[in-house]
Amino acid sequence: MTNGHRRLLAGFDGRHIEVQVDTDWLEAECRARLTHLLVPQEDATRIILRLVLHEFATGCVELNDWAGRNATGSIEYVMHHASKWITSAFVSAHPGLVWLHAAAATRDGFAILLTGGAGAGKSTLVARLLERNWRLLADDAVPLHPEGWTVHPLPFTPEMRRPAEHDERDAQAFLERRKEIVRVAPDEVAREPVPVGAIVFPEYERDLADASLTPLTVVSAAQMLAAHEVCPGKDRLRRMRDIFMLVRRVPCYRLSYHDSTTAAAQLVACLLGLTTGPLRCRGPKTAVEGLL
Amino acid sequence: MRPEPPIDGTSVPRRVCVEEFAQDGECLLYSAVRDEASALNRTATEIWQLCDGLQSIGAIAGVLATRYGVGEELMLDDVASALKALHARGLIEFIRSTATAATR
Repeated sequence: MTNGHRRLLAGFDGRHIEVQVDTDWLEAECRARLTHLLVPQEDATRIILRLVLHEFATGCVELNDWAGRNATGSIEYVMHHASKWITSAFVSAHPGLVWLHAAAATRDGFAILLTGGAGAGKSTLVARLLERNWRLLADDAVPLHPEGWTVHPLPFTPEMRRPAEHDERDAQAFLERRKEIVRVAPDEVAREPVPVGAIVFPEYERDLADASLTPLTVVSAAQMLAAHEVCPGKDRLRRMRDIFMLVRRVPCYRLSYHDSTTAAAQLVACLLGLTTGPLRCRGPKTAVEGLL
Repeated sequence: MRPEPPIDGTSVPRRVCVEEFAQDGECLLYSAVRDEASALNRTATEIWQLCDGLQSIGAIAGVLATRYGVGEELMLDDVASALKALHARGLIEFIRSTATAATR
């Protein structure tokens, strides 16, 4: 099982993460998730984090980093932590960017951001967009440059849960369901920054017949977006200003849907100005969560 | 810590220093102290803007009742509940009661 250490190098915007693995299986699992972030070894100029993965029993993995953090468990569990630590390191190395929990895809020179909490369907909808000739920009964390509001590619390989069963009602059980890796070909990945064209907040509603796209007011969109920042912390006020400027420039929508394939098709049609089918584009929602 | 005075029509609300982002009659208030963003719809924004530390809840209700042509008593309950919500989020404080001030 153990056959010596080998090194993978994941890069974003001039910063690198070194990942050491000790088995072929671990290497394959890491490559599957990080494949579009991997860079040649000679590019290792500025390493900001080192991760070591060790398979200590069949299918059981221990993850350590150079800061002393540790996680042990299944490959899914460990890689979930590894992804978070990698993202966190990139966030710390690029404090001038606005980082959002989101997924992003691009087509025709603009990007759609899909933003929301766990189980909203961000990765699933991105996967559906890729089936429609969109290209992957980012999954899980989206870095945005406030100058020009471009999305910088950070293409972690998307992972999605199988759809809920017809009679499945337990949301927690759905969230705990094992995710499957979405295979994305290299030519399905965007490599250059792309300006944001729309921000969509997906909401899965199991009993919904048709998808609906509701424009959001600037204020409600800003509040929702601020709630989905990655590593919110210092300098939050500056980023609140950035976020408010962003949502003033970019249309924001709430997407309520049940079937992700249909929703993606209708979302594309609506955003490209080709509205057909049952997707309802409603008037702006003015009463925001909260007061009165 | 002093006990909070009861909130009634004579209480005087005042905005706490928070960052305000306004658009289309609504506003987003960001409290750095709590690291919390609150979205106010148009009506709540109007109430927020009237919290100048001079007017009582009753006076604010009077202003809005005139503006919208409804009874002041009816407006008072809505204004009071909105102000309690703003207060709970640390966005306003009640500095004194006009009745208390008058008896001093």
